[in-house]
Amino acid sequence: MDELERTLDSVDPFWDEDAGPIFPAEAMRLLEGVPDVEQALLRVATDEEEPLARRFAAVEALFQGGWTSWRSGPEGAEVARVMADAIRADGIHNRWGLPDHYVSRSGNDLLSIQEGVEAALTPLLDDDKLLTIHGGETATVAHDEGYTVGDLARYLLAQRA
Amino acid sequence: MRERRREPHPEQPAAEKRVPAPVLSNRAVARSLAAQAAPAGRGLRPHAAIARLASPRRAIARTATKIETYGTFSIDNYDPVDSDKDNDTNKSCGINIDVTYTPPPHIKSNKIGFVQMMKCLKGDGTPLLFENEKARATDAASGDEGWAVDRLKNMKQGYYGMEDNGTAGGNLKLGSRTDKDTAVDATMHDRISLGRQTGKTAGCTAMTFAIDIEHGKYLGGFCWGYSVDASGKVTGNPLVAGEMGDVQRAAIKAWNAQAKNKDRTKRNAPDQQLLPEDRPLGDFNIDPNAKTYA
Repeated sequence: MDELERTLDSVDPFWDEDAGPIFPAEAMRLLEGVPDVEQALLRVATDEEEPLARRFAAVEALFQGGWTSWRSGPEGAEVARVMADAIRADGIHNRWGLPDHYVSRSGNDLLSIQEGVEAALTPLLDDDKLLTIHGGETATVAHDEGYTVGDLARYLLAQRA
Repeated sequence: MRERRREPHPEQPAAEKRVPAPVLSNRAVARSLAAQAAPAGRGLRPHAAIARLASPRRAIARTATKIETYGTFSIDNYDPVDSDKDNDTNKSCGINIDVTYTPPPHIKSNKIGFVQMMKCLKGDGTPLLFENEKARATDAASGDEGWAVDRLKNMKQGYYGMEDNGTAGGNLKLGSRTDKDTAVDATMHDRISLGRQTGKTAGCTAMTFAIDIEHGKYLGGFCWGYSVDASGKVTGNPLVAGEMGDVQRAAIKAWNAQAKNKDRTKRNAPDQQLLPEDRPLGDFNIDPNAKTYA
């Protein structure tokens, strides 16, 4: 396993407890030392042979590092699909946003991709898995409303309309 | 917005019949609980009366916990939230609470609601704050870092559960008092839920204050919350009457500073409204509970 993979695997990308960026400063410094880091991360993110956790960690690293020139390119659609799969797999959904209320960090990241977002989110519309939203009043509203992955997909798609 | 479908969480028992508790409280129990749960600097009032009152019907119906302070808080459904009950896993933990506040007889107000602030901790003991809270959290200089007014992102009012137009949202009912015999209780519902990692502790302390919104005066308050031990067991914190301390005043000032931030993207909402800053109880002409504190 190379340095890049070790760094990506050093965090649990599906447990973002404060909805903030998931890599600590030290991990970002290591990534900055990787030659042509954007392409290296993009290769991991779009490689179907890689586990979803590592692919999504690579996506998170791309946004956290500001390595985002690919968003208007052909890889955008595949990255959007990885992010949509990550919504289904996520342990805490605050980073995506709260349906009917606001879009959060990763939700905005996903929406910033130029092509393929609609195609990635549409299959989630029928997913009735409950979102796990943490917080005080925020968690209360989410629990009372019974928001699902499908509701989140609908809300994100509405922002693109 | 679609129709609400509130359901009890899995650990929450079905709705139970509420049994009125006597007005007088057990002060010995109150002092014992207050002494246990009164960390310095959090404005707790050790001599305020609090008691889980005995009832002859307790075997078949749980009584509300009464907190006598400036007015009376009745607490129902104070039940731990645990998505993987008692297991040592990554999971969601927290606590459910339903609050009813009866204003004291000598005030007059057409609008009574709540202001709530919390300090929550990650497994490493540092404050757990979401992005919209970081901009308004207390710092170490205030005496205890990490306290923040609890409000949904993008809401402009600082009052818990309030819609932007000043009406009550689904988790709030506004109260009032027109004379000593005529009052409407204010109620609120909360269900804190936060992440807890395998092998780690976690927890949250909350303070909820009733407030006379019409006149901008804080009324009584109480302290609640939960903790998770390293084995994954969730325990509700004792319910304790609490006065607003320096740290809570700092949290309100921080909310107001956030509301004035020239960078509107750093506010809770672009037109975030100010909260009244605390005035001590001495601002009231009459304190009907003064003897209770003695």
